[in-house]
Amino acid sequence: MTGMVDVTFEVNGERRTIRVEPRTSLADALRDECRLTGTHVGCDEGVCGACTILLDGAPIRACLLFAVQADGSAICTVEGLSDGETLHPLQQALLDHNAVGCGYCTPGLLMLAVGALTREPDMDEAALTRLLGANLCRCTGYQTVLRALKAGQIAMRADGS
Amino acid sequence: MLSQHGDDARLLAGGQSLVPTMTARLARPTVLIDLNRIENAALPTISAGRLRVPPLMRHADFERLSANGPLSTILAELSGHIGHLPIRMRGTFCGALAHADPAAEWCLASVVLGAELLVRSMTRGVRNIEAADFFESMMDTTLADDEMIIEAQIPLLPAATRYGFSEICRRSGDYALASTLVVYQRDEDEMTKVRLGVGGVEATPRRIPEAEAMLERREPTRQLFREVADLVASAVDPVSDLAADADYRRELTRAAVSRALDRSFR
Ligand SMILES: Cc1cc2nc3c(=O)[nH]c(=O)nc-3n(C[C@H](O)[C@H](O)[C@H](O)COP(=O)(O)OP(=O)(O)OC[C@H]3O[C@@H](n4cnc5c(N)ncnc54)[C@H](O)[C@@H]3O)c2cc1C
Ligand code: FES
Ligand code: FES
Repeated sequence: MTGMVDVTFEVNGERRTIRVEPRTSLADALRDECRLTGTHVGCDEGVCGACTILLDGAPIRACLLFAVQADGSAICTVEGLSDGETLHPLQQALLDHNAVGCGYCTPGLLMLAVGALTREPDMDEAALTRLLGANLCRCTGYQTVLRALKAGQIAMRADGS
Repeated sequence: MLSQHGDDARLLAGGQSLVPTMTARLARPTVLIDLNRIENAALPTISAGRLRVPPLMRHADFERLSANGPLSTILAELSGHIGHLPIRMRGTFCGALAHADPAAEWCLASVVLGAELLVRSMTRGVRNIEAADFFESMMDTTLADDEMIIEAQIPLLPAATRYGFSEICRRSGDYALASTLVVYQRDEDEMTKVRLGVGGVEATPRRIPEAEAMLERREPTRQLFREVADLVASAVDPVSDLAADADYRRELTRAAVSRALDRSFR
């Protein structure tokens, strides 16, 4: 099936209609059509997690969803996390703990953690460690990320976000 | 639509297996039928002593099943071993069965727990298949091109149920190189109605009747568990692949059986 299709969804609170081929992944649509290039594509097959976004609040792999499937949904990408100049508590925590290397994995890690901690605010260290297994990071060795998540978790609770 | 397009069409559920195979151009369907908009297909129901799993029930939906009881506990534990959170948010139970990876947790669970699948074709109507007869070989089932799994039914388990699960992976979240699920009733000091199966070892998950017979009506002891693990390790015909050759898989099977049995006895 070819031809272009109109897809309407809400991205970071803003309603957008884009025109895509049915085969376009949501990750590609966000980057190429919405110009939101914070969502990265590493493997394009569900393994690395660089493309993680929130779809109606659920952390998912945007490379495994077709853009047309997101019609009518609310999407949150890394660009939607900060409030103007004020970073999201988890973003601030990654910064404070030097938990960013090259940064390629960072948007995916953030969306994974925001999605997971919103679902389950009280995850303990073991659960957070298991969670991090979802996304690949080749730079940090995960220890700093784990520390940042624990700090961010406390800040998120205080924040009520 | 499936019956119209036959071989060229595929059902799209969670997309967590189909989309990667399409990206790799291993599957090139011309028509994709997205099941995700079907209403009321995400929540399980219970009737006639069975948990009924609809096509859009996702792995993560098993984390907190509202029904209490041993079956919910077992399924919740197993769901946590499937890939990672984002995979579990999308991937479905029925999709995993249709995909038929020999190491899939749900494939092993359906075989061991005696699940029955309801499968429907537009032209021939509904048929029921026992999970044990469903898996034909690696990634291959008895499902015809125009058939869809409309429900999986899993018998509930009595309160006296004991179980143990173990899987061995290179990294957590990977497909298992060997896994074991054992379920039995604790009757006074004896184990009864023993069901034990292994996954990820042969081309399809299966129960090991010799091992079940050896455990049936016996008192659980470490010694017996070791003997059963040895028996299973010699009864299986493990596949070889890049991750593990047959001999190594046989050792992993021994370890998985032994750990699963130990865990049932906590
Ligand atoms: C990084 C990663 C790690 C993973 N790790 C694991 C793991 O450890 N264990 C595991 O079990 N799985 C794992 N998976 C796979 C995951 O569990 C899939 O969700 C599952 O195998 C397929 O379910 P799905 O709903 O995504 O199906 P899809 O990918 O949508 O479809 C898979 C196949 O099933 C068919 N199908 C889907 N629904 C039906 C239906 N109702 N009736 C008939 N046919 C149907 C499709 O046509 C297709 O052929 C992993 C996936 C990824 C990307
Ligand atoms: S790009 Fe989606 S998981 Fe790697
Ligand atoms: S910071 Fe470089 S991959 Fe994670």
